[in-house]
Amino acid sequence: MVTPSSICRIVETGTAHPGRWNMACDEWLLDTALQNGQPAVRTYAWSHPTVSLGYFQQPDTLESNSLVAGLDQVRRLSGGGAIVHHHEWTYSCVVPAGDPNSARGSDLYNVVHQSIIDELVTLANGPIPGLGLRETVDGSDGPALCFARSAAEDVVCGKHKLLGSAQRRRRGAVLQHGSLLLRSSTHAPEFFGLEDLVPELVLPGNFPRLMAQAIAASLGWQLSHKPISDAELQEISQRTDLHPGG
Amino acid sequence: MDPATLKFSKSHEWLHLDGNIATVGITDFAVEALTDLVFVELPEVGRTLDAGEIFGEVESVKAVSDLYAPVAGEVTEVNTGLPDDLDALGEDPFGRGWMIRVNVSDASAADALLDETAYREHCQSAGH
Repeated sequence: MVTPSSICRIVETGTAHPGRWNMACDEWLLDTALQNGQPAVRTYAWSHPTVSLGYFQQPDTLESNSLVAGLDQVRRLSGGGAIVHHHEWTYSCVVPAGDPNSARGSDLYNVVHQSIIDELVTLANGPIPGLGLRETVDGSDGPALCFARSAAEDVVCGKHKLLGSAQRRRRGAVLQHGSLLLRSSTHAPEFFGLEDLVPELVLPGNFPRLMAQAIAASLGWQLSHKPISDAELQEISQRTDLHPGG
Repeated sequence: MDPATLKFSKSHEWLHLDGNIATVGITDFAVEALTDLVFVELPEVGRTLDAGEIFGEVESVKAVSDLYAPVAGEVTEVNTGLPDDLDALGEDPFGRGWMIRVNVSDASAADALLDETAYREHCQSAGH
């Protein structure tokens, strides 16, 4: 096992990509951390509405949902339920093997989620009514869609789930990624986002960067901004074949 | 099975060797750390595994974790009932919770694994 670094690479902040590229990039980050021991964070968007399925969900999971018919579909490395990625900011962070955060297990959800809550509260210049970690869980793991499920680590605003995350653990390293809903999607109109629920809070254009920095800081990492190089871009692109779909 | 008779990997798999046949599962420590297992996927009979190779996956609390073969060999039997009886992993991880049986290529490779005392120390020292 390589010695883990405490210098976190901020890979990108706010770029939109197709789903298969996003999934390939997250896996590449995980495998890169296994090789070089460096933590990494990226925040990103989706170039077009895309469904991601949890790792163990079947490809026909949403077959009966006409609102998502025709959308690109990708499979995540992580578990949990399906997500309709449309109006959202997505984050991923990779904890290398041996980093103290790698032993947090599901508490890693809480730490990262709390950092995003704190960032939103800072931007709002004060408390946001109803915003926080979920206090009660109804155990509804049945629904196919992640945002219809309830987990103790969710970020909610009142009764609405705003942010959910999932993990992949590989050889001691952890990939955690999650979706912060910005507004309701025509493909999943039952879920509301930050702009719907807290309209007075207007996120600044650099919010993806602020979110990435907040996540890294919450995990005790120093920051190093280093965009993806052309050579790395090629590596990631080669992996997209392993992530068919969007 | 009595844990004192088993061998352990640092990635929390256990192994019981009977001649050249190794029975493999994950430890009570791993099950407790994972919490709330909801899926397990195991390999097909006949698959050849290298030591350290991923042989399956489990999901708990929206986290998917890989399972690693502690020794090399060919899978001869799979606990096909386990995916529908995940409670077995919590209730009897060293018995009903077994995952695969492997015809090992080199039984002496098990000597390099940890005994129970060393494994428990590893769990404590790793801080997890």
